[in-house]
Amino acid sequence: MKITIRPQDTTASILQRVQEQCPMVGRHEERFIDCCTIIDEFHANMREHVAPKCHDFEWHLSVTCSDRGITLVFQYHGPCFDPTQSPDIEPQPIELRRIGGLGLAIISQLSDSMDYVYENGLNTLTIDLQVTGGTKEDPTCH
Amino acid sequence: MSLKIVEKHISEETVGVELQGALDSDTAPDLEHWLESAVTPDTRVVAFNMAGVTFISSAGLRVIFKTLKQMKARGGQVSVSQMSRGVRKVFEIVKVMPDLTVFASQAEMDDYLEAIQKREQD
Repeated sequence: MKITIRPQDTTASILQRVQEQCPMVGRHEERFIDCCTIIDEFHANMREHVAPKCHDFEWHLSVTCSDRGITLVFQYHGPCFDPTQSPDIEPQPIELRRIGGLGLAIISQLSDSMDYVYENGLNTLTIDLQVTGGTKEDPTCH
Repeated sequence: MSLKIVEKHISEETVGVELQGALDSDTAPDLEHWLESAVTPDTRVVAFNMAGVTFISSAGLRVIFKTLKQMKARGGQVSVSQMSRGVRKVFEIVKVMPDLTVFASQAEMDDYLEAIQKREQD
């Protein structure tokens, strides 16, 4: 089920609706904490960068949960922006980041996979958080 | 899920604060405003107890990082204690940990702050 979110909604109210509509998320406590951070980052980006001062703007969130993990689907109408291709998702110290880039880095690092599609003006970002997975391994360690 | 900010007065140079709730884009400005009034020109150490923080996002990190920059500029420091695994994970992503003084428990942080107080008195 899709949750419709407006800029004036608080993150707390969004998370409450997520828990009401998908009570199973609570079973994966640690991953749900990551979901809370990801949802807040996305919501902040919508409010500050995609639709600043635009109270009529809406974006949509779908949450599905299984034994294997949690899937978040974020959707909004607007110009094409593929966060999976943004240089902001690369690891770098906080003081070197551009404003707005930190949230994308956190979303990317907390998720196990990110998939982006742009179709008919609709941005769709699908994020998977696996129960057995944690943050991504640093590729420089290999 | 709001943020409760509980001041723990420690000394003239040290501001202690216990956070309970979510440190997100809605609540981070509350902490920022609180710090603006709690941190004085004499403050050299800001100690955050994060035991009650359910989750943190970049908005909350920015407030802590801003405080860190402010303290470092005057030769002070910021300490953080009792981070949950989820909160610690976000701190590690942004690679801000090396600049922070991190304590696993409140007792460790208390010992450290006591040592600072002693140094102030001497």
